[in-house]
Amino acid sequence: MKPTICYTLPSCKNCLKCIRACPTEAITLKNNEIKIDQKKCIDCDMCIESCDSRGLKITNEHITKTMSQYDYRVILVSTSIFSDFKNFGEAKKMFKAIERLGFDEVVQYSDIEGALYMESMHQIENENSLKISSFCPTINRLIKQSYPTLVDNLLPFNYPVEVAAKKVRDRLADQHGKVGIYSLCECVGKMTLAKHPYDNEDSFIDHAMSVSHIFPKINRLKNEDEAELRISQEGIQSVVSDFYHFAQGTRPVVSISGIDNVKKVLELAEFGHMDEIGLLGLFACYKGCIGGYFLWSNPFIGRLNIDQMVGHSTHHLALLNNEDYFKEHELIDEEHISMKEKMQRFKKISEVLSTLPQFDCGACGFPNCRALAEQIVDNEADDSYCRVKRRDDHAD
Amino acid sequence: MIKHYDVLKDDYENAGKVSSDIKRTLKQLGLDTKTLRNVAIAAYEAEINMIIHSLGGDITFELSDEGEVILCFDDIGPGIPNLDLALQPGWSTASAKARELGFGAGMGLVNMKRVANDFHIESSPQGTHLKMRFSS
Repeated sequence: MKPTICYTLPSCKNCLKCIRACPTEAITLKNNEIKIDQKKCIDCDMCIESCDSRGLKITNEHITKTMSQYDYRVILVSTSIFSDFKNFGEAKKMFKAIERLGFDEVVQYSDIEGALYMESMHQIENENSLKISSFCPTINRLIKQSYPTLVDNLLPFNYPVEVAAKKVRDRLADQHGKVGIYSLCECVGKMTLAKHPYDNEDSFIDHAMSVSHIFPKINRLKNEDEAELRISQEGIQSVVSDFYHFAQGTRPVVSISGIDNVKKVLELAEFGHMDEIGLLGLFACYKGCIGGYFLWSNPFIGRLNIDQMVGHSTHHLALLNNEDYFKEHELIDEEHISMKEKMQRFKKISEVLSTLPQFDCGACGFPNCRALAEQIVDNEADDSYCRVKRRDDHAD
Repeated sequence: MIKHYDVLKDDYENAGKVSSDIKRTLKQLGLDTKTLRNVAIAAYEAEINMIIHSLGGDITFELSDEGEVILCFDDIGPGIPNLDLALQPGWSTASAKARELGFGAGMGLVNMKRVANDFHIESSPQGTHLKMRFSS
């Protein structure tokens, strides 16, 4: 998998803010260079949000260059984009303007979004343990990475954007020549689902691009022409993490947004103290998908626009085949290291750790003292990296 | 490796922090998922029980070279009057304050016994001693 977030040297001040912001300890600073461990990165964008010096960048493909490869181009527009439009009329004009970028079809899939979210709430009725929604790619990666005991609680749902892409592909099969499917995304996590440039061979989405990149362009292309829009109320509510409003079952559905809040709840869920809850609907971004980093509006303000759109939406869901709903989760392979080896390494790290201050100040360039201890054990660093120790030695 | 933790009576504000530390340590070690889940559930139940019901005590977390986890919960009283009853699902003596905080459903010991490989408990007015062993 290709990196989504890249370090750009010139403006980085080595201030370590990104290292502290990272929820999975994926970032380190070594030899004055920021490194992002792709195995640990969950594409949550917390680092880029925390950076004041424009030192990090998201890799965006030059979409216009790819478009000539296809005979027929379809763009899937994520439902949360509605938080960037002031009113329904504006939304219809903007959707028409997206077409002028060179697309043969502009598809909004709130009805699919709604269908999947609603089905996820039906699923829990026959269960007696806690289930966790799986519509946020970043949350799925977080759980696999940091909360392995909860992987079994994840519902095996497909991503709405993938289902939308598959439906388009099925509908256009053997027509229009080579079809290119683009996904207009509100967040980094969703972008990484695409085939290019992220090497997801079985994805139905060919390319992904961010709302922020094309928003100014479509704003310029906008005129009085309006596209037809039929928004599903269930779909648009789900992206603002309000889908529990539709919960009619007997088991409680709780929605949690923001990666820090999600982490707190998952910590508790690991203690097995949440079986009375039917479903946790988890979103990495505040207020749900409208908190996506690529949207222009702040989620708390953008929420007002969404409320307006809800007034123009109707209750309807996409009709899907049973197999469209589900997709088994790919699991991270457990490392085949014997318990004895694990214990030996653990002891060595603990020994080194006991000689470090354990303030977790991060000034060494690693997220905490334990991470530095691991590096020391692996002979990748030594204790001169520790600034607190150096200061104390100097004082002696 | 052995770690000791002091637990104070009615320290609701810090409830769960010892189990969080044990869980974090075992994740860093890379303990298998199933054992990790069982230890987390039992440690949390026992820690909360100790805070709610006992006069205080200490928790010992031991990790053997083979990756076996031993948890000991030793308090200084007042003891469990009827152990047989306490081991029945749903039986609880939790205070109203504890119930308000969402604890005290009467499943504590039942759950611990279910997830531990070995479960040993003895109790007198001088204190309750609980020892659980988990192996992967």
